[in-house]
Amino acid sequence: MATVVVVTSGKGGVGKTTSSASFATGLALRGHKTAVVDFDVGLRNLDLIMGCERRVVYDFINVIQGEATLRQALIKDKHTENLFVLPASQTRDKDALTEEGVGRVLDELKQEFDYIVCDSPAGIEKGALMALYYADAALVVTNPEVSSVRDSDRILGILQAKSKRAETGAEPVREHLLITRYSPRRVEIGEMLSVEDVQEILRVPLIGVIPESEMVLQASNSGDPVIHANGHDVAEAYRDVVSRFLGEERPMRFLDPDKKGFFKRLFGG
Amino acid sequence: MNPRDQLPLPLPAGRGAAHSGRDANRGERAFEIKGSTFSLLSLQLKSDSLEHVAHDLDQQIARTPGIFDVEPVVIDCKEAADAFARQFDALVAMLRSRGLRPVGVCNAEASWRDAALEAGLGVLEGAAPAPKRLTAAEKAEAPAIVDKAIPSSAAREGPPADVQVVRKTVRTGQRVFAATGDLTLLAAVNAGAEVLATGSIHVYAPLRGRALAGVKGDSQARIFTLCMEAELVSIAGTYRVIDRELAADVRGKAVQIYLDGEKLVIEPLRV
Repeated sequence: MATVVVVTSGKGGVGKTTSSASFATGLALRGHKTAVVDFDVGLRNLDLIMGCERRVVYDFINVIQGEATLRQALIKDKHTENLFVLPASQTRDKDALTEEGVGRVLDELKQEFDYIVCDSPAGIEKGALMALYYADAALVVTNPEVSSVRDSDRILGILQAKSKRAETGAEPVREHLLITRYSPRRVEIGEMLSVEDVQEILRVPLIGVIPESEMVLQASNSGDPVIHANGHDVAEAYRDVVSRFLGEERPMRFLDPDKKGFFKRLFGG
Repeated sequence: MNPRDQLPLPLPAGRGAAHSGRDANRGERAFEIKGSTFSLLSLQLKSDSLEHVAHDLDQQIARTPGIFDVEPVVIDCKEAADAFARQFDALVAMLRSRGLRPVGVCNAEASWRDAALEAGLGVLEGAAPAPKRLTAAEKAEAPAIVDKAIPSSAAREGPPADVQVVRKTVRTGQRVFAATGDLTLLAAVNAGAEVLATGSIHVYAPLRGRALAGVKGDSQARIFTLCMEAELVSIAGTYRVIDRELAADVRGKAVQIYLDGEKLVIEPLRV
């Protein structure tokens, strides 16, 4: 039975697309056939982060409007087996997304894929609402700072009221908190909220903490999801998230400020 | 003297203390007549223009949507012009369309009395205003202060649910409204959320958003919370925006909030 997972946040720029890309890649690396779908009509980024921007022929809107088949629009990922990308349109606007059309495409995807990761745009308007409407599970991406937490709270309220599961009285969407851009040092000096602070307000099970890292920018520049950066803490953290999502236990890592050893302090690191 | 003799109800002759309709054939009770007391809103007419009444009612409803949800009301005709009674049916129809259910009139003379009887409504005697309760006209004033000063910041996602006990966190942008009685919350009210009640509000968790108690004018309503971090509190229209200057003995602590005359008092809860 296919699972639709929305990666959402409310706030912009917190790491939804970065996380969608790595999360979907992680699922595919574990052998599950995964499609990642860009719901940000008009401001698409997923194709850039996945490194397939030069291979976009047809997009999500084309499929909804019957101008192309899903087979024609889906782009096979170059880095990972089992992974496909459905890019958003760059030229149309969000009105082209209809509840019925989105439902149809997702149903078709569910025939073939184990997981469908929906990369939501920022905000609480049409694109974001469509991305979360058919979700079975949600990763609520939150930076450990007040405005992101406030917006995540808002989007959680919307998930609980405006998803199809909420409207039909089905089992509610499974909510997971994904804290990104976490800097233990800044938490220590009181600049950033701690994991506990965020959880106290949002009260949603924590699926992972992704540390702040320069690797993320490098990854998006090279069009290679950061989960591929083997050995780096960001990549490890995303792998942990995937494992936990699949039901495995993993201790939370990267929460303590780095105690730099002598050589690290000498040479920087 | 049997108190039941005071009821203005026709009692079947010859039936003693058991004022229950006994079905002679089946020997079972079909009904029971008891003295009961009901608290009712009364709408005291002060204008003799139907349009004026409708207009003001609509304004009230716009400020507090859902405030009248099939609310029984008695039309108080004390200050109503006799001539207005001729529009009785139109008045009743208008009130019904706004969520009020006229059940009768009080302080009604001649033409109002006749009009009510004609329309099949009751004529209620001796309306004593409940102590410390406001008439509908005065109640209509109090929420006006609330809403002029505090436009609701919460998004309207459907009609406000009429709840009494809330077990889940009230999230930013959500709004919970107890149209009758008290509101009890067993989870936090997050910043940017809004909880309102006709009665008091009890939050057994942090209160970080806005709490408005006594929204229909009950100045005796109170707000209780285990952790005072509210953005704004209001009782019967008197409100206070809380910025960071709360005293250390109440900030983040268990408090009760009540109205002392015109002043909103925030007091530590000491048990």
